[in-house]
Amino acid sequence: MRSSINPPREARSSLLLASQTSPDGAWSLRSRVRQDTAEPSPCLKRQRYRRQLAKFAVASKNGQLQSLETIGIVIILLLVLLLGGFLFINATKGDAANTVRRYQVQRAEAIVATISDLPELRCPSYGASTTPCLDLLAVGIFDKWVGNTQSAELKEGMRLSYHGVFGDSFVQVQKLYPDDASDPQASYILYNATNAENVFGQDVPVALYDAQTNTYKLGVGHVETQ
Amino acid sequence: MSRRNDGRLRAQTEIMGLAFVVVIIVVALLFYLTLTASNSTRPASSIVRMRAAYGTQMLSAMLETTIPECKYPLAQALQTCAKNANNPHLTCGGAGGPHVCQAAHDAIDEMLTAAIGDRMAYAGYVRNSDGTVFSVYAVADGDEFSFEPDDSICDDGDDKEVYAAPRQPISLGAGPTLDLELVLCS
Repeated sequence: MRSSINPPREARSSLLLASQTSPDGAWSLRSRVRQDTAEPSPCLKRQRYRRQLAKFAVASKNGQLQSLETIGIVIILLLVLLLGGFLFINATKGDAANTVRRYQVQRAEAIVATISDLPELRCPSYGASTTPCLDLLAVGIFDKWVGNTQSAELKEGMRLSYHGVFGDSFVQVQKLYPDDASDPQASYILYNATNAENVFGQDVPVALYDAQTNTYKLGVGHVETQ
Repeated sequence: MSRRNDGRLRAQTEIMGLAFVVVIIVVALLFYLTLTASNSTRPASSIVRMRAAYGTQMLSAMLETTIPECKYPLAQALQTCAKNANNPHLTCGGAGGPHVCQAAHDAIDEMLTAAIGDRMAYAGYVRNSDGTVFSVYAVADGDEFSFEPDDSICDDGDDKEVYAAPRQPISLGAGPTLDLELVLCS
């Protein structure tokens, strides 16, 4: 029994040599023992080869799956980041546009409230008046000297004088009622200092006092702010 | 056995991670929707405020505007119409001119057409102090002057905004008054 397990003397010497030369002494020893003791049959070799191949195939499949999983996670993370960025940009863009619009509305309201309180433009009255009213004669003079003057020097001077009141805006007054075809002028530009395209316009109805006929006409003040 | 436990633990962890990602996406979407919804209400409030200012100032300016045929303001024309509707000689611009009620009625229509036009649906009413529509029979023409529009101006889905000039009621003597009212539809 013992003799059948122990290898022959020649084999022992080769085993000793192999254990000394190989870094993995134990494994080499065992394999060499097997090789030395009995040569495996081709059938056994084939089985062994197939087993190793199957192990390798399973390991390779697991690796592929893990790689795919990693790629999938990266893609999902990128999509989430892109979606978040898109939503954030949309939200901030809308908010910025609303802020600009709110500012334009407030600016237009302030200018509208200012126009009818300007001593140069307001109607002559001896008491408190709740109706916004402009003196048509004063409006005509304003149109000539501030809004439509041809002199660049005068225009710049007037623009600087009224810039504190109107800012970068466009202010126009139009007569609406009564519709008089013989009227030489139905529209007056009071101030013009807008140069941007993104402007916000607001209309405000006003009464226009005509001192020549002592009558009131219905007009509309149009204010554009940027 | 331990390998199976490891697998279960890993699966649970991955499910937790997936749930976490889903929760983050849902929270982000809710945040975005809240943000956009609150943004959309801000300019609307400004527009409503603008339209309110427009409506009330329009009424004040209209009442002060002189009617060319009558040579006096609309407020006075309405007052004269209400007090003297049965007077057939109460015409504007002398004999042959329009009755004062007719002139006031036409003036309201022309002013609103010139100021608002096709920009939005609108209607101008004159109401008594009890809220009923002001309506008179003018003996001169035998016509009824009802100060309200003929057709319904707002569609079913429209918002209706009603503006009045409460600071300037037209006095008709001791007690009753007339109010000019403007309805804008959006």
